[in-house]
Amino acid sequence: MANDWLQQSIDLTHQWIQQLDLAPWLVPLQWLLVGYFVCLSAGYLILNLVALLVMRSHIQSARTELLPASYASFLTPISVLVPAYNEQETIASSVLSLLQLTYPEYEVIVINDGSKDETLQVLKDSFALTLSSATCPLRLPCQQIRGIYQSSRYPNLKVIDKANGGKADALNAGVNLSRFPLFCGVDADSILQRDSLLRIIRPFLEDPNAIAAGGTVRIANGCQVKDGLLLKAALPNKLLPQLQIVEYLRGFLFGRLGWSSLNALLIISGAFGLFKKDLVIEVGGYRHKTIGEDMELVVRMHKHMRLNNRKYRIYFIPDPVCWTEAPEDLATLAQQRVRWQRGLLESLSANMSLLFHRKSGAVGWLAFPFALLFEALGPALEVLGYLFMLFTWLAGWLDPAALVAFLVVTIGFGILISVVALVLEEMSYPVYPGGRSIMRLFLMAVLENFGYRQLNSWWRLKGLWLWARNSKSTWGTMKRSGKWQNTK
Amino acid sequence: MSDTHSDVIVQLVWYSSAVLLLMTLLLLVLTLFMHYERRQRDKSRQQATEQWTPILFSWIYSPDENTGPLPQLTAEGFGFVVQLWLQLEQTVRGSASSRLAELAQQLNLIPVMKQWLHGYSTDKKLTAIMALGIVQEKSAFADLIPHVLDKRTIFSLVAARALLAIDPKLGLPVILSQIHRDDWSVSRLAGLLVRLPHDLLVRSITECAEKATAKELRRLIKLMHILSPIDSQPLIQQALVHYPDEMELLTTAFACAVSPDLLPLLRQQVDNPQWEVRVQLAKALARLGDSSDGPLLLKMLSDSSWWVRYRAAQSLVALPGVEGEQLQQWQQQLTDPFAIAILLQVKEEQQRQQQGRT
Repeated sequence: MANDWLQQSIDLTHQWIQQLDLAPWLVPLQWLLVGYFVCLSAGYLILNLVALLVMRSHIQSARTELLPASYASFLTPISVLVPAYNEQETIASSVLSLLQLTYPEYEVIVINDGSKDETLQVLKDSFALTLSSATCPLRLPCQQIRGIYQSSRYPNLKVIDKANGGKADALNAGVNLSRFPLFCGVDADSILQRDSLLRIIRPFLEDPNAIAAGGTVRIANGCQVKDGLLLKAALPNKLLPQLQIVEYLRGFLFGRLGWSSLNALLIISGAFGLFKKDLVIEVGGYRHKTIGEDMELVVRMHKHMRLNNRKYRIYFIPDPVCWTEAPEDLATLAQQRVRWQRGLLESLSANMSLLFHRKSGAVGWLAFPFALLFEALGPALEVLGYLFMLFTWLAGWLDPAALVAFLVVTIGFGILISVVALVLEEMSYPVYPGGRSIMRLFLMAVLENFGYRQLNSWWRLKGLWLWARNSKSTWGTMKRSGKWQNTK
Repeated sequence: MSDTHSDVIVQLVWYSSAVLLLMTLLLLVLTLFMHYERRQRDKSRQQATEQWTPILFSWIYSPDENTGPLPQLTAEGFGFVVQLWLQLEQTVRGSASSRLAELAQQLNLIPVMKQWLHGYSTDKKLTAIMALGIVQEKSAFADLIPHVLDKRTIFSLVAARALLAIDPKLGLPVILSQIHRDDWSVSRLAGLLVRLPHDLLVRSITECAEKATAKELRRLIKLMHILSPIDSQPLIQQALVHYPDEMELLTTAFACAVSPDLLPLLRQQVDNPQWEVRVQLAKALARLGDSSDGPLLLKMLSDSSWWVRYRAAQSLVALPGVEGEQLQQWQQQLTDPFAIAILLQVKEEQQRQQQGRT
C-alpha cells in the first residue's frame, strides 16, 4: 500500500518536472556544481600538501624535548585572559589548571562578564579573593568595571568583575588590566596542556615580526581530568563528540597549518591564542558587535598590517593543545554551528575591503576568497547540490550509476582529507594512545559522510540565512556537562 | 551532453574513486606505521634516559669508577644525552660542574655543538649556545658574538650569558653595545651581570656612558642603579649636565638619585617645562633634601600641574627635619588657594593613614 503511494508520488513528480521547461538551466547548473566541487577539492588538496610539508619542517626545527629549561627565564611574560559568563560549574577547575601551567612568568586574569550565576562567588571561595585597590587605564573600550580582585593564595591571579558586555568586551577589559606584552585568550570552559604556553611562545622567540599565534584545540569529552590537570587523553564513547574530533583535526591540522605557512591564517581560535598586546590595542581591540570576535580580530590585524605595508606574521602552531568540551546533543551542536557560520560571515563582511586589495597579498587574493566562496557561501552551494541531485534523479535525468559514482568520489575525497589529518596528527602531537584509536577515528571519518556532513551544511545554511536577515547576534546558552572536568 | 561523453565522465569518476580509495588506505597504513615508530622512539628515549642518568651522576659523585669507555650513542640518543647533561649542569656547582665538563670532552660535545651553532634548528642552536657557554669554550667566542646581535630576544640573551661565562672582560663591552635594545629588559640584563666583578662593571658601564645617547644613558643609569646605586650617581650628573631637555632621561635620573651631592643640580630643574620632571624632582627632594628645600617645595605647591602640587605637598610633610610648627608657619604664608587646598588634602591623608595604623 505504502509502496504504491510512493510510486504514485514519484510518477506525479516526474510528470510535473517534465512539464517544466528546465532543460536550459540544467547544464549550466550542473557545470557550476561540478566546477565548485573541483575547485574545492583542488583547494583542499593544495592545503593538504602545504600542511604536510610545513609539518615536516616544523618537526625538524622544533624538537621541544631539546629545549633547555634554563633559558626559560628569558621568555617573554604572558597575561592569560579568561572571560567567563555563567561558568560556575567549570570555572574553578579551569582556573586551577591555568595556575599550574609550566611557564616562568605569567598572570591569570579572569573576567567575570556580569554572570547571573555564582561564578564570582565560586572564584572568591576557591581562590581567596580580596577586593584590590588596583586600577587600570582604559586603553580599550569596555563596560563598567565593578571591582578588581586579587587572590591572596595565588599572587598571579586577578579577577575583574564587570557589567555584562559580551566576550569581546570582557577580553578588552582583560587587555586593559594585563601587565605583560603578550596576552593569551583562553575560554573559561577549556583547559590547557601544561606546557602549552612554552610551545606557543616559540614563534615569538624565533621571529621578531610575529604578532599572533594560535594553537590546536582538541575535544576533551572522554578524557580524564582531575583538579584541572589532564590525566589521560581518550576518545569519548558518544558518537557525536567522536565525529567532531575528526572534524577538529581536519580544521586545525591541515586547514590552519596550510594557511599559516602562506601567512594567510584568518582565524585563531578564541579558546587559545597568543597576541602581541600593543598591536591589538593599536587596531582597537576586540570588536563588540560580532559573535566571531576571535576571527574578526585576526582578519582586522591582517588588514591593518597589509594596508600599512608593515612586516608581520601570524602563526599556527600544531602542537600546543587546549582541551574543550564538545556538544553532545544535536540542539547544542546546531546552535554552535549556526553561531560559527554567522561569526565567519560577520568577520568577512566587516573587512571586505581586504578582498582583492592590491596590497592584501595571499590574504586578500587567496584565503579571503577561499573562505568567502567555500566556507561562507559553500553551504548554500552544497545544499543546492543535494537538491539538484534529488531533483534530477526524480525527473529521471540522472543515471543512477552516475549518481552513485559522483557520491562515491565526493565521499572518498572527504575520507581522504580526514585521513591526511590523522597523518598530520600522528606527525605532530598524537594524544590518543594505541592503534585502535586511529582505527576508530578512521571509522568516524567514513561515518561522518552519511548524515553528519549534510546536517552541518544545513546548520551553516541556517547561519547564512540569519546573517543575511541581519537578525540580532546572540551566543545563546551552551549546554555543557562539565563531567570531564572532575573525573577521578 | 552525448551518452558516450557522459559514459566517459562517469568512468573517469569511478577511476578517481579507486585512486582515492587506494590513497586513503595507503595513508591509513602510514599513520599506523608512524604510530608504531613513535612508540619505538619513545621507548629508546626512555632507555637512553635510564642508561645515562646513572652514568651522569656517577661522573659527578664517583669519578674513579668511570675508567671504562662510554656506551655508544646514536644521533638521536646524543640529543637526549645533551639534554640530560644540560639539565644536570643547571643544578650543580664547583667540582661537580667541572666533572660534567670533562664528560662533555669525552662525549666530543664541543665539535658537535659548533656544528649545531651553524645549523637551522632553533633548539639545537640554543642548546649549542648554552653548552658552549657552560663549558667556557674560548674558541667559540667569536662565533657567539653574532648571536648577541640577533634580533630574536632569546638568542641574544642566551648568547650574552654564554659570552659572559667564557670571557666577561671581552664579553661585557659587546653586551653593553646592545644597551639600546628595548627587548632587553634592564632588570634581566642586571640579572646576567650581577655576578661580575664590581670594578669591571663600573668601569665598563662608565666607559659606555661616555658615548651614550640619551636613551642609552637612561638605560645605563637604571642598570647601574640596580647593580650598585651609588655608582649610578656620576651617570646621573652626566645626564643632568648634557641632556637637560630629555624628559624621560631626567625623570629616570631623578628617580635613581640617592646622593645629596646631586641636590644643587636637581634644584636647578624646578622650572623645567615638563611636569613629569617636576613631579620626580618633588619626590627626589623628599628623599634627599632637608628643611632648606621647604621654600622650593612651597613654590611647587602652586604649580599648574595637579600631580606636581600633590607630590610637592607630600614631600613637604615628609621633609626630614621639618616639625609640625614649621609646617604650620609655611602653611600660613600660602596665599594661592590651590596650594592651600592641596596641602590640607595631603595633611588629612597623612592623619588618616596614622589613625589607620594606630
